[in-house]
Amino acid sequence: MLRNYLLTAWKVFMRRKLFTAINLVCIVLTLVVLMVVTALLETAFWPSGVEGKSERFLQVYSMRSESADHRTVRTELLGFKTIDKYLKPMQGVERVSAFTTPASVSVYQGDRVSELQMRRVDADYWRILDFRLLAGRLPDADDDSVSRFVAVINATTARKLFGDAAAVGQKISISGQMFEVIGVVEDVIHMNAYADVWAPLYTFPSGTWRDELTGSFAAMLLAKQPSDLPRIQREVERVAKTFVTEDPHEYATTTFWADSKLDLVARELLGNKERADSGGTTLLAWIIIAMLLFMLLPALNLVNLNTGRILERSSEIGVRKAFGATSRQLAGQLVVENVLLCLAGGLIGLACTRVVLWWLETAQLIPYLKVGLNPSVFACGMLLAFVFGLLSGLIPAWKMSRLDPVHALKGAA
Amino acid sequence: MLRHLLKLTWKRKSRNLMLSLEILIAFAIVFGIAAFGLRYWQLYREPIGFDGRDTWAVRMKMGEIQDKEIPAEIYDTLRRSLLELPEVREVGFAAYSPYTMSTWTTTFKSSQTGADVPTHIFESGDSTASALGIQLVGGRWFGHEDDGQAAQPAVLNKRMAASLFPGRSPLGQQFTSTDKDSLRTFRVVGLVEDFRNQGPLMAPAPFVLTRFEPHTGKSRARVILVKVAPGTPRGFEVALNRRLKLVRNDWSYEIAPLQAMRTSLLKEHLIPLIVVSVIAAFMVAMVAFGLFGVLWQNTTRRIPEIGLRRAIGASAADIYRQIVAEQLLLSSTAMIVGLILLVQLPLTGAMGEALNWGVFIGAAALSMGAIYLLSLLCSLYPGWRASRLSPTEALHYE
Amino acid sequence: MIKLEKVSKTYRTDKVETLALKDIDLQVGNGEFVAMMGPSGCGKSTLLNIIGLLDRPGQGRVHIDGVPMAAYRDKDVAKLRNRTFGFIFQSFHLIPDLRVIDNVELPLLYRSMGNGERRRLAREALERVGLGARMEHYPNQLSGGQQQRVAIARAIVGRPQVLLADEPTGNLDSKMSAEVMDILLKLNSEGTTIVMVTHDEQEARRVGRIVRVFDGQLVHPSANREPVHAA
Repeated sequence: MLRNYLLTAWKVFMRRKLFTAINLVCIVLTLVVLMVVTALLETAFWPSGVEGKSERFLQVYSMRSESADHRTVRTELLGFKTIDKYLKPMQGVERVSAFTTPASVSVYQGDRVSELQMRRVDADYWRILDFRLLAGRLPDADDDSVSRFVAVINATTARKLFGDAAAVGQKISISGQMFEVIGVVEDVIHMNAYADVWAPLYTFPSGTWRDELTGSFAAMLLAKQPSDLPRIQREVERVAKTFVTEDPHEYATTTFWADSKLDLVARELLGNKERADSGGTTLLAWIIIAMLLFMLLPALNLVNLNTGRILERSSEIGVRKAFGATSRQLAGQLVVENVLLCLAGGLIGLACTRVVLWWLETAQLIPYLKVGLNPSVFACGMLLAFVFGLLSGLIPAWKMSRLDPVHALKGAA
Repeated sequence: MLRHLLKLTWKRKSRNLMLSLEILIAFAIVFGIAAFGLRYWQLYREPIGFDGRDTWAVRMKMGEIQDKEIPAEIYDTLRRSLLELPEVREVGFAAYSPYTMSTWTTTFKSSQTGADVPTHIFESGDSTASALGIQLVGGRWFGHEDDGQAAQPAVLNKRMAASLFPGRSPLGQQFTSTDKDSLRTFRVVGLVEDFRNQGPLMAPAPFVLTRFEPHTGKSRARVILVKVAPGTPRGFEVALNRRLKLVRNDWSYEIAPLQAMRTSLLKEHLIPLIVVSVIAAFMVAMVAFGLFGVLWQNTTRRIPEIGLRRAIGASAADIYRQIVAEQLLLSSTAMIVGLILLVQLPLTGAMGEALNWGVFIGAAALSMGAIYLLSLLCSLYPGWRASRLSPTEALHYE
Repeated sequence: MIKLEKVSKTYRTDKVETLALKDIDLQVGNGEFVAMMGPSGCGKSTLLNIIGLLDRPGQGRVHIDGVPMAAYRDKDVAKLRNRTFGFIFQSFHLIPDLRVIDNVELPLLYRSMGNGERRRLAREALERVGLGARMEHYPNQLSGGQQQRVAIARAIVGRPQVLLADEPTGNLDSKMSAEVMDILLKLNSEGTTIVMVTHDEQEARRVGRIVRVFDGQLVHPSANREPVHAA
């Protein structure tokens, strides 16, 4: 029976090549957009590459202080002292890293000025994240002990500053301070890793950073296993309650949260800085709803076109019914045709998605982006195509099954 | 002929419902984008209140120290030191730099109406007006004559002047802050056309420019605005940084020409518009496909009718025109419904100033044009095919 | 007024060529009522289409009122179809979405005329076929015979010189067929030239002249060269 369906489907498609082509283009376009978005989301949130350990680390990115009467609210990044005093002593955490968010700095080479993004990071940073070293080495305890002004740069920056010459061993002036380049790492775009230059904490121009409760820092907490994460989150929430600001009269209570990457983004987008629930699941739900809505317009198109096609084939349908085909068989035939078309569209869409992703990487709209199509995204895409075909085939199929054979044979539907 | 087409379209309305819905959605989407773009264009042409073309901003990174730990003398030292550089024309100080996403707001009480008026504020020194190129349309900028006065000087933009002192000239008037603990009195000494610190795409807002004077006040500025000679190369930053480090080596300095900051801020503002436009283009493409497909199908279904019309005396051109006209009519009805719904927005003022009548009419015209163009393009091929049908084939179409 | 000279027509579908008409010489004079008869597939419908300018001959010439049609472009042919000819089809071809009166005034839409004038002519045509009371109905609310009468009204609304009917009673029972034939005979007596394709021998005998077609050619060609005036 399936072979029969397949043959009929093929004949139907070939009979009306233009329609089939239009349907196919609609489906391919929709699926390409959805799959590109899925691939980008996966790159952002799934543990891989530099942030390969992200399933067992959390990050703390901001603290929110409120006055007793709730009238004054202040949201800031952490200072080193906060991390040192409140987060590092926590039990059951394998490592805690203090690092700054990227800041724009100018690198002077003679008369040439380049604007780069710079982070200042501690030793634990390099141990939590998995950077791929392309040349030289990472900062070590020896540099720490003599407070050597070393810097690590990424591959693009090495090319930008030094062209084809070796970057390791060169000296650069960053905002007036002299650094020696000791290592070159691969370009990365991930949330905690993105930067052009990394330098140790002691290279801050003034020493005040050690005593600041608020500053430009964030923290990463690495757990021993992923199952430890909820406990660590509760612990951080408790620690925040014991936090005392530098001006306790002005700001009585403070909260900060240890979040996974998804939670962090959800908190930022939904503005949920006060409660433990960051709304991560809500964000995910919204994304899925948005995707379904996105599929709505093309699905509407397909439904329209399929309905029209049925009316065209009404005499064929009438004949089949007159010779004993049940409504279910006819409906099944239509749905199979539709799903086949969508799966074909899915395969073509996959090829197009590869092209689009390759273009995104080369166009560098998002710097250092590296996004691939792995099997899970592929499976996701084909599943989407299948669901799409099913949904847009059901309504016309239902309509068709209710066609009165007599009317259908007469040709007036 | 028009009435005839109307009758046909009306009778077939249930069949055309889904199509009309798609056209309506596409119209709404294009309208949204057009309104967004037009509003930005409208804003872009308004004055921003200052001319930052040859000005550089230096953000002083002092760590998280409090204002009271910054000595008052440092500003005079910085100014003197920088003016020694041959490229520097003027040096001013400000609480924050223009062309950043900074927003400082507070509330002031009007002495005339007694109402509390929320406003943006920008605190800057006496030399900032010339460093930044702020153009006054009335009164004067801050200066030494304001030292030691009970009421602090303030410069308002026209919007704030109208809110605080409706119907009257604001110069010389006084107003107060609304802090319960420390009441401060201000006197208006100058008026600017407008001040939009975030650049030409910022929505207009009331602005109060207050005076920064380190020796008499407690606040401290963290940005230096340096006016340089026209044509100064970017490499000047090296010399500037070195000179600043000579004054305070433990601070770090983030230096950028205001022009560069303006370009990147504009790009940031435009990114959401671009992203939404890409999605909208996709949606409209979907609708175009749907339109084309359904039109094609409709034409196929009506082949016997077309044959009949040809037999009765319609020429090929008549058929072509009919198909296109029917499609334009369908689009028109969908768009009229859309316009009726959308006109509620400026009527009720739901989107405030962003959707004023100018923007509405412009966006409506643009989106109607776009949808008509779309309808035309999608009906060209089916119409052409229909007109090419031989009458005999059409009449005996199975 | 209609003259066909050595008209031939071949149909080409995929790789098969069918010779539908071969060397047809035919004349139809003003005011004649001609019935065309022959077995199915013999080409009589094709012949009717060529007479009514719905199709062009592969070879040969067509003259209407002495004017050769070969030089005419689509626009002029359309005008002729509108003003000189009226068509009646076996399957009526009424537009189901329009009321009866709108269906009837359809040919007039392709002429520049005021709306009121159109309505008046359409109403008159409907009266002539006896359906004055059914103007606001939709075609699917009428019987087969009534629908064909509406089609006739549509064909005559523009007062054409020639009516071309392709098996007008093919889908009707005997009572309705008789009604339709009565109307056609009445119109012919008022001066309209009618060329009708039919299967029915009895019907054909009621009209002035019979032309028989077989295998794409006229039977008894000599008898058809001269027009016969109606009795």
